[in-house]
Amino acid sequence: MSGIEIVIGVVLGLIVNEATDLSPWLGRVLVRWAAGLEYAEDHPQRPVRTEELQALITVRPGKLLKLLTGMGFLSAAVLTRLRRLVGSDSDGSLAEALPPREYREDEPTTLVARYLFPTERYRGEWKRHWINVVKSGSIILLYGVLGVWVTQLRIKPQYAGFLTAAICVATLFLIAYRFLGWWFDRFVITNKRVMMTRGILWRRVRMVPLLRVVDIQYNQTVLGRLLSYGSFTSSDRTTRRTISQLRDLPNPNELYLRLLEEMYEPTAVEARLGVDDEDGEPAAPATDEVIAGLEKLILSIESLIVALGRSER
Amino acid sequence: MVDGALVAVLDVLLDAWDGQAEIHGWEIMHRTRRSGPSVYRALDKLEEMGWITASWEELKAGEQRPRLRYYRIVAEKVDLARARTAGHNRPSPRLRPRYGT
Repeated sequence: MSGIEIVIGVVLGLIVNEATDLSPWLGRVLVRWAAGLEYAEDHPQRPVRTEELQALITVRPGKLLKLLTGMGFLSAAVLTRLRRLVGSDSDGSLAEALPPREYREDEPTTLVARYLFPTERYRGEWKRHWINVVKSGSIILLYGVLGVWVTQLRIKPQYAGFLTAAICVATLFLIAYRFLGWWFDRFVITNKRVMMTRGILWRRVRMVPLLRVVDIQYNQTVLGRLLSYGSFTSSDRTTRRTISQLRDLPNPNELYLRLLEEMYEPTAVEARLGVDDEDGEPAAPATDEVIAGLEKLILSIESLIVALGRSER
Repeated sequence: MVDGALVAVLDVLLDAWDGQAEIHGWEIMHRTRRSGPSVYRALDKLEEMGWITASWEELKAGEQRPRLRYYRIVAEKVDLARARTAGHNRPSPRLRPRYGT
């Protein structure tokens, strides 16, 4: 089957789907099942949700999307049911769902506080993006699986069982170690430097003074843009050598801006932090300027027209 | 753990309260940009806590179809809801990186 045939097949399928009422009907059936799974037999919400979700599927635009929504509800309901079977369903009190507001920024955790000197202004610390632990974890897992496979193929049967167990334990241990490492690693910005603290048993603290950084290259792959992570490469002011590369940082756009702000406009940071607690009055000087500019333009055009009229007379 | 969906749903309901409107489940899903199950889990929780009330859509005579359900935040809980949702998880116009991800 060539590529074009596959495309035609998919497109035809979509057209048939849009032309018939199969998807909406299936969507309604799925949410009926979902409500049945989600709520227990005697739960008062069960008939309510059954009817309501069917109505929701009806008003939801897009036939294929109706089906997808139904599938979403059903898969969530299956998961809830499984969780209930295992018995770990928390009842979800208000305190758990909405704890009172809490500021975590602007106050270093003990992990980081020990590396800061007293006069330094702390601007925030961040864990790496979870993709970091997923990447390293899956590589370890891959090696583990390969190891087990090779063991089964090449090692004498009397040793194979022992070796397989050893490889499994080592793999799990390494993954756990990586996970803990990710959990405790921190990327820190202060008004003097950028710091990366790493490691659990062996501790490494790397830092780059902001004064030495001349340019920051900010890279994001396609996956990085989808999942919101990226890497920074900073170079030395004089030698232009790469002095540090930080991978898998979360929300790189915001981090990047924050870093630049710290380097070039420290007063802006002060101003921002100063007014932070008052609820933001969104004064919009930019739009004001635009309006003022437009007014000027209109006035000058009017005066030009008047002047032209005079000259004609 | 802060429940982001709960905050988002409350935000939408508070908005609707400001406009004196009632909104149904799909509208909430659409405006919060959250998945149906997480929205309905939040609605379940809010209904259980007595923060919201719901009423069935009224059908015209002779109409036969599943009815929508309209939600409205309870008047006494508006201030509490505003206080509790303040500062949670909303993208702010200022630079404010989230803590880890």
